Amino acid sequence: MKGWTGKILFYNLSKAKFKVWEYGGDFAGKYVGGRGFAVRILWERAAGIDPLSPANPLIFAAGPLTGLPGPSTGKLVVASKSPLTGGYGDGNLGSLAALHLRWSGFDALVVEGKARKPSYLYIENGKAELLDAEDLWGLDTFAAERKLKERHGKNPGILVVGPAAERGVLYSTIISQEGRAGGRPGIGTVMALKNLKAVVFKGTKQPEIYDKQRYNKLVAEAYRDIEAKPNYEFWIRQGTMAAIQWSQANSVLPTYNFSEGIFDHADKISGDVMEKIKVERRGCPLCNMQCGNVIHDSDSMPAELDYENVALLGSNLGIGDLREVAVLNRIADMLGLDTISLGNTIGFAIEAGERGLLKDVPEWGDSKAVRELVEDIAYGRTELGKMLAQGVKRAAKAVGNGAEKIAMHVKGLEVSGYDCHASPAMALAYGTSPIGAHHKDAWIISWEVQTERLGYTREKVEKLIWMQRIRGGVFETLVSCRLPWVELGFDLDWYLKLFSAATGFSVTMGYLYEVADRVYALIRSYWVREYGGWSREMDRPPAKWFEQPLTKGPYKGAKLSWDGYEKMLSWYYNIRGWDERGVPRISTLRKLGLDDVAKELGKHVPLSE
Amino acid sequence: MSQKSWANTCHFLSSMIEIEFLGYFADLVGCKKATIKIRKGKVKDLLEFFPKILEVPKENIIVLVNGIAAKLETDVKEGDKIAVMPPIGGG
Repeated sequence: MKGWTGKILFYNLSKAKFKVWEYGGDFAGKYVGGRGFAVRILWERAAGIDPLSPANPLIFAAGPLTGLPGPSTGKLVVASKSPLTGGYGDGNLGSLAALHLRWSGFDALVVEGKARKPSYLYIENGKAELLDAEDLWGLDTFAAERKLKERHGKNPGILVVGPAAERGVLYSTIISQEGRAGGRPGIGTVMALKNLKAVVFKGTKQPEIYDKQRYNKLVAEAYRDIEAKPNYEFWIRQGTMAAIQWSQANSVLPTYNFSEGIFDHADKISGDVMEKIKVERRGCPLCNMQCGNVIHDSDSMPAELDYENVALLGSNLGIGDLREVAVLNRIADMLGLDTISLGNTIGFAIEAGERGLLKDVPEWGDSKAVRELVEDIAYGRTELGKMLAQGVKRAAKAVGNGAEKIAMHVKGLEVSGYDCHASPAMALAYGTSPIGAHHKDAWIISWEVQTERLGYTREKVEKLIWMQRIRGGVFETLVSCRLPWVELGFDLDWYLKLFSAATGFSVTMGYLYEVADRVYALIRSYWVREYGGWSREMDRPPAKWFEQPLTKGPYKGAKLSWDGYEKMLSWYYNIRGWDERGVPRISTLRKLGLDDVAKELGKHVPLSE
Repeated sequence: MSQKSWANTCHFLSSMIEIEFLGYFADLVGCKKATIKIRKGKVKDLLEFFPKILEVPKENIIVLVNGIAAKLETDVKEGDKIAVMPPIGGG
């Protein structure tokens, strides 16, 4: 095979031994890479397991474009059975680790079992070694990575977990390069539970490319094409931070635990404010549109900002001071906490306090008290911190008295940065996302704003599925960043050309969509098997958007309709070939070449023809 | 770091209708806010003042009138607040 290395490394921590699986072209052709590889491996190796047990595989998966020269291809999928949701969990981060995984001869690493003591994996050019990490355990992610660099040189690929993961916070992420984070559904938690503090990759051999001359020519043209886009210069200045002002203008900026879509102090945390105080730009390897904006936070430390963390730790908590938000974000990255879930759980606690359901919680906008609470969560210092460390779904259950109504999550994963009171299609995007309430698979608000915004139409559902196929399918299996396409309008055709030059297979977008549909059907089958059944309520967004209308702004009074949502959900199932419960039909699984999955799933739940 | 600086406001005659430009559209027109004298008209009449915006494909222009999505044919009147922006990808 060309493009792919054709090898997946399996490392068993309990035995400190590894084996290499040389997979064939059928597997590559059917699942392509990244998320596709991850879900197939989980389907086969993580049936009915406790996600917090050593049996849970921890997967790092690249795709055929990862690590090859090319626009924004320095990305990596991290996946496991999620301890936060109990279903399929993955995330995506940009890191030198993506490059070095591939350059060390593998397309994926699967870590199983549990090390006897704190350890880290060192992988170099086809070999893997388990090394002692006693001195790293307890260190924050920045300090741990710096120590590993002292040991292994300046530029290896390093993935680390922080103190939050070590203490079992269920939304702990994996961090790299002091600011790149991935694995929202507790993938970092799974890593720490294996006594695995870090993985260090060091490789020197780029995977073989089918037509290197053509590939390199394409890459040079592709980079130039991106830089010629009309909004390129603006993107370089503001990156995703421009979305603060955009979301405010369109009434979707999460505010006060997703109670409102506009924030009175949005102009103090906007991209324009950031631009004036920006000191540096950071990003992922191989990217020519790096989006990490660095400012000095209120501790005078460099801190990286993007839209999601400013929305969730800023407006969603009523904090209208960008340097204070930056401190919270930096601390969250150092502790290895997912900023989106963190902003949700703290927002939940503040609102619960306001409603008299919780005592001794911060008030809106009190960044000092929030900062203290962040550390309480990571270190399990207080009862409140311990409760919030379990995520908003479990916290709401513990609080009781109707607290579930203000818990913003889908399937246990907290909602990312867009309010949906006045955005039905985006609510469906959250409801049907394959990992819980995250936007990476589909973000439809720009399009929804330009059409019949408050309507519940089949056209919206079709558009949503098209987005899922590209964002959640194409980009998550090729494993390349979606931002050149979604933010600058870089044509999707480039990826077909790069794929063909890298692998030697000429494919159509239709082929990649079919892979995406297969991956989606398999992810859904995994959830259904692990949950022992399924019902539509699992795909419903939080009740607040339906029951508690917006109280200000141009969409004052707006809320979602249950009837409208259910209508769209039925269309969604119908187009995907899933039945009215949301379970893939036998005919759909067969059509996608998943006959074995249909057979196995049928043992757990009755399937529709 | 290189930073772009804008004039705060472009003035066309007197303050009647306020237009705000978001994202790279502010770069295109050279200011973030403009005020235009039109007692009433349509969104497209306002955009005539900004030829650079008109060069952008129509499907890549979002216009809000008082925070609500509008079309080129939507009526505007004195006192309205207009926001003009490109679509974004949502990360």
